[in-house]
Amino acid sequence: MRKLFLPLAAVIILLVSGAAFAQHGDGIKKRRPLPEEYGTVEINNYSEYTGLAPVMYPHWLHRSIYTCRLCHVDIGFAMKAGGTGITAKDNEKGFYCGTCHNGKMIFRGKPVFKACTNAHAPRGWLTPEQARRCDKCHSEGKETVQDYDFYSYTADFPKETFGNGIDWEKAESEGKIQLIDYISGVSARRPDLPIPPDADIIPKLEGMPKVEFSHKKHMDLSGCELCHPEIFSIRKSGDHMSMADNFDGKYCGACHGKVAFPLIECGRCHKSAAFQ
Amino acid sequence: MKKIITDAIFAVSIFFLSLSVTAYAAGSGLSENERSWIDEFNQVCSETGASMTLSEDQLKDRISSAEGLKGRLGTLDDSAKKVYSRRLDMCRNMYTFALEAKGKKTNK
Repeated sequence: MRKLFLPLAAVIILLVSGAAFAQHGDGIKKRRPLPEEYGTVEINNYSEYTGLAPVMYPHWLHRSIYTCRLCHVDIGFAMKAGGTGITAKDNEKGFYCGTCHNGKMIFRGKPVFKACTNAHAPRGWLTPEQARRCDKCHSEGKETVQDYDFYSYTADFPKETFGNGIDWEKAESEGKIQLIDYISGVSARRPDLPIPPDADIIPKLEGMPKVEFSHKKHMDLSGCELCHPEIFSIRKSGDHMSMADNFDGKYCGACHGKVAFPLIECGRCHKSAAFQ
Repeated sequence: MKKIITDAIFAVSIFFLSLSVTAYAAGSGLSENERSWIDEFNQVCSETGASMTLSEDQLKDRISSAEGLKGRLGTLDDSAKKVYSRRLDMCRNMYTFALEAKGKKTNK
């Protein structure tokens, strides 16, 4: 019996520690992204396959120029990373990144740099200028010089605690940013939108302040079809939205916590003096 | 003999010239069919933002037009098909959502 005790104890310890390890992933708490990293999306559908570094897409820069709707509805970028399947050929034909990154569109007085068109060419065949241009987007793990530096670009923007550390809503209302919502030849001309009424969302948790959901704020940024019905479909009786769902990337969590201000800024939605 | 060779060179040159012109035309912008599909798409899907103000009949009409367009997605090239297939789905789904929301309101 004594002979059996030691191996048995070792097996039990291994099983218990293995289960605990599995529950906490690699045992390391996930690092909170730096302000300039928040919202950055790694796009790697074909990059590494073609010998390029994955694209590190800076959401902060694009969201300071365009509405969510313009890119995710009119240009057709999926809401999930890697869901679009962008190819260099698509860009060359003027779709996705190539809608603006075509070397022709003028923004702030200069042409928007062209997406790399000969991405599949061996590195030695590219001119230094072409290689630099590829590296601007295909930048994972590289020290690249970007046209816009996060900290100098956002220096006078109103600040917030988490996410990018920027109160984007306030930045827009103060005129620090003016979001573009229309690109000729891509967007359809839309009539002025009637705004649906705002909605109060009453939490089930007693004492938790209600959410004052503004349809107007969300429509200005996202239009209708970005949220309905893909993220918010018709609710059947028994369907409940929970914070656990949100943290899981569903409902509000489809944007908040990924690009829009994170869910831990409770007071931005649950309006109460206690959270201010 | 010399004339035959000259004619052959001329014919081959014309052949390659016409090939390159065709390739250039294909690579520059959209074909007539594609342009007409996209124009129709813009017409059908420009009212998604106002979908809650449309009547049930108007919504049904937009949904059926969107379905018609889906059947003709084949007229677009691969990249355009990828982009517009998603855009068309979002548009059709939004009209369907509005129609269902109206139905739910009426039933209450």
